[in-house]
Parts: sequence; C-alpha cells; structure tokens
Amino acid sequence: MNLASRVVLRWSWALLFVWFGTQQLLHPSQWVTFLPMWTGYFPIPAEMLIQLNGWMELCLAALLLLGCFTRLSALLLAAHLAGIAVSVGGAIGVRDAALAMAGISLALGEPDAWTLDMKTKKAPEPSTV
Amino acid sequence: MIPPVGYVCKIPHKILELLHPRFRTNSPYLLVFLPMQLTKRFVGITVGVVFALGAAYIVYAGRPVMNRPTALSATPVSAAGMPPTRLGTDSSYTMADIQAHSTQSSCWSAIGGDVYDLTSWISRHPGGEGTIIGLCGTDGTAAYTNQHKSSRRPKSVLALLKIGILK
Repeated sequence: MNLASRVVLRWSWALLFVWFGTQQLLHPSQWVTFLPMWTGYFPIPAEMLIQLNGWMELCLAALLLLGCFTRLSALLLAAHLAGIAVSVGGAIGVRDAALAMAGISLALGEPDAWTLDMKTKKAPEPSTV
Repeated sequence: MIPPVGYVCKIPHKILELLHPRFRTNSPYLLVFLPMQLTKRFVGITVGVVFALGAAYIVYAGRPVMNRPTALSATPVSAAGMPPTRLGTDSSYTMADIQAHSTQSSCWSAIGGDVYDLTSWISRHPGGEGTIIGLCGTDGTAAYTNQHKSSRRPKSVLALLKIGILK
C-alpha cells in the first residue's frame, strides 16, 4: 500500500469513530438499543454507559488521527467494533465486521509516514563495523 | 514526494526545518498543528488524561440522571393533570400516573411500593422484551416477585430505574 492509501484509510477510519463518538455523546438514548443485555447488570445507567463508550471512541480516534500509538489504537477500535458486530448481528453486524477488518489491516501494517509514531521513531544506530 | 498539502504548509515547514532536523521530512501537516517538542509519550499521556477527566465528568454530570425518567419517557403528569413538583427518587406518583405510561415508548411500573421507568430496560431484559412490556402501566410487584424472588442482580438494576414512590 502506498502512502496516500494508508493515510486515507487511517483518517477515514478515525473520522468514522469521531462521528460515532460524537453522536453517542450527544444522543445517548438513540444508541441504548445497541447495548447487549448483559450490560444491564452494570451499576450505571444505559445512557451513561453509551456516553462513556462514545468518549472512549473519540479519544482513540484522536490518537488515530494524530498517528500516535496507531497500531494499538487501531487494534482496540477494531476489537471493539468486532465485539459490536457479534453482539448486534444481522446486516449491521456484517457491516461492522467488514469495518473492523479495515481496522485490523491498519493494525497489521507499519504506520504511515504522516503519523507521530514515524515522526518520533529513532533512526537506527549507524553500524560501527 | 511532497504531497499537495505540503505546498500550503511550505513556509512553516521550512522554518521548522531550520529549527530541528526532525522536520526535514515530507509530512508537513504535523508541523503546522503540533509544537516542535511534541512526542508520542506526551500525546499519549495528554489523551489519557483528557479521557480520564472526560469520563469523570460524564459520570459526575450523569449522576442525577440515574433516578430521572429517560429521554424516551414522556413528561410525567399526575392524575389531576399537573406534573409532579420535582423529579427524583422521592417523587410520589399515583397508579393513574403509572397507567399514563403504559406503552413501549414510555413504560412505568410500580414494584414493591416504588415506581420505576422501565423504558430503557425493555430492549435489554435478559428474559425478553415481552415480559417488561406486560408490566407497563401496571403494578408489577407480583410478576417481579414470582420471577426474581429476592435475587440481588434484578434489584440492582431496578435501583437504577427508580423514579419515585407509589402514593
């Protein structure tokens, strides 16, 4: 994959979670139906759980946009989306599973040149031999 | 190859190149928005702190919501047509108030002398939606006791959904 395709993949995937996170923060009641039943036993209300989830997605998306801990944040978001895909099922589940695969591909590859990861990467020591 | 955005950022890029060799690269978008000494660890810690503060705020700000009807619920109206003076666990409602919320989009029930807004719980009930929908607008004490007896888990869920007491 060339630089442009990797940057487009990373940014578009991060922006997807920016949208998800923002919507969950602003309209938590509309997302309650996506919560799996076992979360009902958490000692916090459903709306608050949705807002916390949205905030987590926003923070991880920010890391991804900046390219900081790119592979880790992509992996966490992909695992999160895969979990949602399994839990929700149906057509939405298939779509989320495919989106999660895009995140897996980001996590598997080396971060692109526009990431902070690459900016702060130390150059290899010159060989003295 | 310098991408097109590089030309937009050319001047700050050149200045930063003079300041630090790290910026002699082809990725100028970072250079405009991030200070020179920005490092991965600093960004990671900052995002972590912002996440923790934001999560704490959500929990703090959402606390009173715990005992309030959800956004899906209609404004409670008493039997006399007047809304309760205030919402909270110590608000009191009549059976007529509860019967006014007998739909899936606004589902209240009285259980053990307390009033609960079960609207957000309908889709999440492990035993299925139908059981909860059947309780909407009614006194569900008998149904609840028969099913759950004195189990702790359902009690903890109910505590989150309580909106008041039965008059």
